[in-house]
Amino acid sequence: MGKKLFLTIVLIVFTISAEGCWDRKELESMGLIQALGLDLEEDKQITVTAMIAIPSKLGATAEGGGSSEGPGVLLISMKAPSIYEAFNLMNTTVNLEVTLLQNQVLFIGEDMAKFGISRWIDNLIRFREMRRTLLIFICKGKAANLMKMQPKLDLNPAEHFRDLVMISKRSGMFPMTNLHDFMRRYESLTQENYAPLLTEFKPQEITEEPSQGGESSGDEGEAKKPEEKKPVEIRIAGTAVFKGDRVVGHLDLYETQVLQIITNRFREAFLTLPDPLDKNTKIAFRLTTAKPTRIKFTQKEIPHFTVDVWMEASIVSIQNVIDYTTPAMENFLRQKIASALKHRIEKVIHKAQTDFQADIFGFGQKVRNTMLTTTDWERYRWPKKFPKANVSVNMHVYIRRVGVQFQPPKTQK
Amino acid sequence: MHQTGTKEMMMMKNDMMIGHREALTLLVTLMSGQVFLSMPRNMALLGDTAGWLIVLLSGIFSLIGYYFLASLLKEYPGLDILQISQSLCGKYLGTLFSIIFFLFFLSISSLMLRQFAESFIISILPNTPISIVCFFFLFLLVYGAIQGIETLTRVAWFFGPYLLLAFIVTIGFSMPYADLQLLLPILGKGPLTLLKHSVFHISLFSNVILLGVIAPKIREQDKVSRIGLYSLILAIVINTLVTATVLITFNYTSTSKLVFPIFQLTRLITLGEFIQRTEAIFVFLWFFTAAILMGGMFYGTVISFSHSFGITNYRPLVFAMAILIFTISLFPSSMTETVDLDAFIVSKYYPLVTFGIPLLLWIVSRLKKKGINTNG
Repeated sequence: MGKKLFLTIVLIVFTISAEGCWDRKELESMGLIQALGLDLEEDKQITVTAMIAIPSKLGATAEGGGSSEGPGVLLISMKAPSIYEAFNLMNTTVNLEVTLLQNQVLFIGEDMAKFGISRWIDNLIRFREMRRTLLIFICKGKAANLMKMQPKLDLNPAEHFRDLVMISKRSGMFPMTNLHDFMRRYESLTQENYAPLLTEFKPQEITEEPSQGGESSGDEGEAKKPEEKKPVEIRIAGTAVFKGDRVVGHLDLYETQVLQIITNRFREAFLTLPDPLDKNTKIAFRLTTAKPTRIKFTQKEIPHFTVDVWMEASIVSIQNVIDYTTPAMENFLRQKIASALKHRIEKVIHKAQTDFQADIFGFGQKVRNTMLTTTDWERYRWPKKFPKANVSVNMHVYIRRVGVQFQPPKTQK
Repeated sequence: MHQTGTKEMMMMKNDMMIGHREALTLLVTLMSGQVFLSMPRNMALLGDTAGWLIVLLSGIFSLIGYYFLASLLKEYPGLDILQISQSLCGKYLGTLFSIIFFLFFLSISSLMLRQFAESFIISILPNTPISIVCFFFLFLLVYGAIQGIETLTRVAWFFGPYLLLAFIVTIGFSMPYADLQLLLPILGKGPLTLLKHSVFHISLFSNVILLGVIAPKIREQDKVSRIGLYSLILAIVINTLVTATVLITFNYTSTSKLVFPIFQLTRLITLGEFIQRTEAIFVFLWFFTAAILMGGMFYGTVISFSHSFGITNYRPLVFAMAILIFTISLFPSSMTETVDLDAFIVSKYYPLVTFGIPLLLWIVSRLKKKGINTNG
């Protein structure tokens, strides 16, 4: 009897207490932020832009899409002294409790990135709703502007960015950086920080690679019309490079591939080089990592590094009629590829040493590995030594496959 | 009538007996449950990249310290450490030792209660009052203590494999973020600093002293010292591995700033689009670890108190002790103060209790034996 009574009381107490849980939140009452943007204002306050999901629109069928029925997200910006105070301010107009529980992306505006993010970095890691899996992008211009984008193939802009970054594995043209990676580099003296650089995309200007001049060609007929409020289109333009807490420059897409190769994040990419026997034509390869890149540090008066890179190249296109599919020609070709890649890698390392003076490749880690104690490492002052370090690159390229055909096609004349 | 009473007493006594596996799991949980709190962070703070080495070395030193407890328990089978101290040092000194043990268990229980309650508030229940979180823990502690050590060890044995699996899964799934180079420089802050902190932090494994309290209740008395040894070795492996995993995932500078590194580690776990936000699962296991850990220490508190004052039935003390523990747990004004108190202030004295008193008793026992041999 006593046991039954005890059990009944326990069940009642637990049922009642579970019902009145202090932390109960109804899904319908939450304004789920999908992406967050931070811009610095002149008075050193920040403008926080939140991309809040509209579940009914995000869940709509593909035929509705983001364009015909409007975007699947609500964009709202608030100027505030801190990120979280901006949420309070947002809740003066948004009738759902703004929360970061589902936040997947963080955009940092150019002004803030150049000014230095140290004042706001703690905001990102201390608050429990912020997850370290959050993807980070540095924006060229205002984050709030770029967040106006509406992806055409995905209803959810945050998902769009997530997928976009994943594609990097296929091209190596931009680094995937989440808050965890960012913080790990931020707090170490072994490697400077970097993050993908996002910029506005104007398709008509970008189709040709070095698009200088002719910016308004072909649009004159429409010039008088009041500018249509088109959603912004964006693209990743490479990598923003940090020194300490501020952005000091950027690497373009091809330079970023080098960064990815040295930091062992590179998987595969297509590479087009001038034909070594006929500079007017080109040869295209599919480049894949054969072995992880090895960096060897030698302690000398000036720190010396040897970078060994192993790549496999598969021929995917030969514009010329020269037959490169013989062992001798393959050997010749692989030396040419190795030489071209070596030149690219050396150029980017030199750029990091002279233009940025920032060790984004993590050479510092190799120096630290040779130390016995952390005190020795801190005394070494690596960031100051990096610009003067000697780096030699050994490129090992192997041509393993030539596609599904040997000799290139030839017209019979 | 008399015969029936004796039979009942015997049955009760048998009911309170525990198996060696159950005891081992309880001890491992007691010694490794702290990895869910700030322990990995504290180690990174003390040893930088060699934080894991501090755990390993303190474990090795603890094994040396444990030798004295093990030989006492072997020498006096059927007696617990409190009874051994009374039989070796007499009533007054023995009672003093029992009170010291009581204060030790009381301090650990209170600080653990506060830290676990705070950890749940910080990570998953930000709006729940601390008293409510504590109430649920205390409810379990009281219930566990009333049911006795057998229930506690059985619960530990039941959840043990799942907790171990959780550790393995956490470590395994965090590997994509791991970089072994982050354990270099191998000596962290230097060999002397490492040695110093390893010696001062053998308190990491001081919960092994509970073996001294539950030893007479273990069914296979010949396995008592092995239970302690194996549980210590297992706890050393778990604590070292978890600390090393945290260090290679976050690097030492970040680790030394994380309040609950394991929680952050579980929040990192993602496997494509499918497995995300796994901390929701880990929180359950975390809760059970906390409950088992505190249950064991609470049992030690009540038993040592009843021994100190010659109370044969400890059960009526349970509610009073729960209130005392709850009250003390609220003494520190903040979470930071609690962590500081537990990791760097009070814990300094734990080794004196857990390894110092057994050493002292072992010396007294040797001297007494020597005296008997000389006189005899």
